[in-house]
Amino acid sequence: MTNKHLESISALLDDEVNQSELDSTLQQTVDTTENVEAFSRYSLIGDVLRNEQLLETNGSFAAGIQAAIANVEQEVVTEDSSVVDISSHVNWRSKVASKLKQFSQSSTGRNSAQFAIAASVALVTIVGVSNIPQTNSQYNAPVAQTTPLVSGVAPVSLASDGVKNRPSANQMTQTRINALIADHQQQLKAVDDKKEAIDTNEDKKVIEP
Amino acid sequence: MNCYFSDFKRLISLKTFNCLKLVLFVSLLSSHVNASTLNDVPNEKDNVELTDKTPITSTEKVNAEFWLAKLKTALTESNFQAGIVTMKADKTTTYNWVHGVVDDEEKVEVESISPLIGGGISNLRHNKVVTFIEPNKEPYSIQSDSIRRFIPPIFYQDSSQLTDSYQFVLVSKNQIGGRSAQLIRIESIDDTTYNYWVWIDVQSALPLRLAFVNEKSEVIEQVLMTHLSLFTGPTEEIIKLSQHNLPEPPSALIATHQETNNWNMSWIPNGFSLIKSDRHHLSITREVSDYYLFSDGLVEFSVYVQRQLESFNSPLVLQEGAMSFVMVRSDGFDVTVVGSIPPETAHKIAISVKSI
Repeated sequence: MTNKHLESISALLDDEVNQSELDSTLQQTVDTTENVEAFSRYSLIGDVLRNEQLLETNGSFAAGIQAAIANVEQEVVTEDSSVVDISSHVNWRSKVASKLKQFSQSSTGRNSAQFAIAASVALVTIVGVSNIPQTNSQYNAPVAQTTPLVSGVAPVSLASDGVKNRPSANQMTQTRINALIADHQQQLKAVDDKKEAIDTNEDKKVIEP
Repeated sequence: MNCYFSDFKRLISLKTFNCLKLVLFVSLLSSHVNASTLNDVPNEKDNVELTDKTPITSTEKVNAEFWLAKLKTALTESNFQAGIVTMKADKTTTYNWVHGVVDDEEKVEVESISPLIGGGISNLRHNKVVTFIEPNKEPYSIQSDSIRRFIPPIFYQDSSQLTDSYQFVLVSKNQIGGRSAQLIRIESIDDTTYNYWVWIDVQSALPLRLAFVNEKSEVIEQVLMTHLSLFTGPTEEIIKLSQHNLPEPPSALIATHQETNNWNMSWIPNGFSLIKSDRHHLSITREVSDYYLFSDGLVEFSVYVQRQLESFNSPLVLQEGAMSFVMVRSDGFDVTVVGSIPPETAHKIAISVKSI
């Protein structure tokens, strides 16, 4: 769009134009300083890409970047030092920092510096308190669910393992126990007639003396 | 009205603390009144029961023996159909129980007990022949005057046989399943066996509830009647049951066992006597065992003397409901006592077994 008119310059430098285009482009380029700068930049880029010339830039660009970085770092440092305790949330940090700055810079803020400190402390506590349960609840929910599950499952599996292991260790004892209990119940089934006879005999014995 | 009004005015004029005190006092008073009215209610009930009893006492002497005699008559002579639940430890079993007397050409007492769930063993009794009917098995019969499932056989006989080791106590009346029930406690005199409580239906004299109770008065095993239909005569079902042909019980000659006399039991709880002793193979393990069966009429216990097992921690004590299982290592042999007796009693019996 805005670079549309620069396309012809780019094409010219890439040697992809015919004679008439070359003439018109050169004519346009001379007209504006912007086009002249573009021409110089493009030719420089082309030379660098073709390894025909080392990149030589003036100091202003690097200085500009350094200044920008310095600004960014400064901002981050101030934010960290003032608000990092309040919250780990990025928005909270910047918002609270800016609010505090505004407040301290305002006339009422200066006049009531003590209140400002108290308010900031209160804010820190409020934000801190409101943040702690949040983080805790995030951790609590899975913990609250998993802990019973783990404690519920683990003893059962252990207990069932123990029960399973014991009979295998004492299988002889277990089979004997089962056999004896079954036999006891079997014996009881078929006992009545005999028992009755003995009972009546005993009664007679009791009566006789 | 005036009185209340003045009270109210006074209340308003008083300080809040005093108000609170008053409210507390009033609530205490009202709760006291509530308690006294609650106390009154059972007293009234008692009176009603007493008046209930008086007509019976005028005709017959009412004691525990009277009720147990009525129980025997009801068990052997009435026509009824009942649902039964037995609760043993965490196991619950349900039965359908039918009893009747068919008096056609000859008098036939019919009793049928079949499990409500699953294909377990069903029993059918005609007079003194009890048949065991199992799925996929040939039915067989034995000689017996009762089906030994949840009613102790002593209740079909003379309960006075128990007086050596038990005392009968006539206790209050309860409600069981909407029916009035008379509780009879059969209590072990020396606490070597469990107490047995029987709730007898006042109307039909059938057992509504039976329970093994330990010395702490805790119910450890019980039988509960869930419903009861009484009939004036034999129903179609009872008549049908009476017409089945039951297999003949084996003659006593075939059933004789080789008696064993190798062991001496120096301690047996009071009232128990030896019912039988033999040497037989256990059906599951084919292990040979010297066997003794003791009974006091109400409960039984078995004594097994076997070769030593290689590994078990003596004494091995297991319990399920009222049934105890105690295995001890003795001098060169293992003694096991199984039965519906307290584990302490079973252990005492087991350690008293000595070789002759």
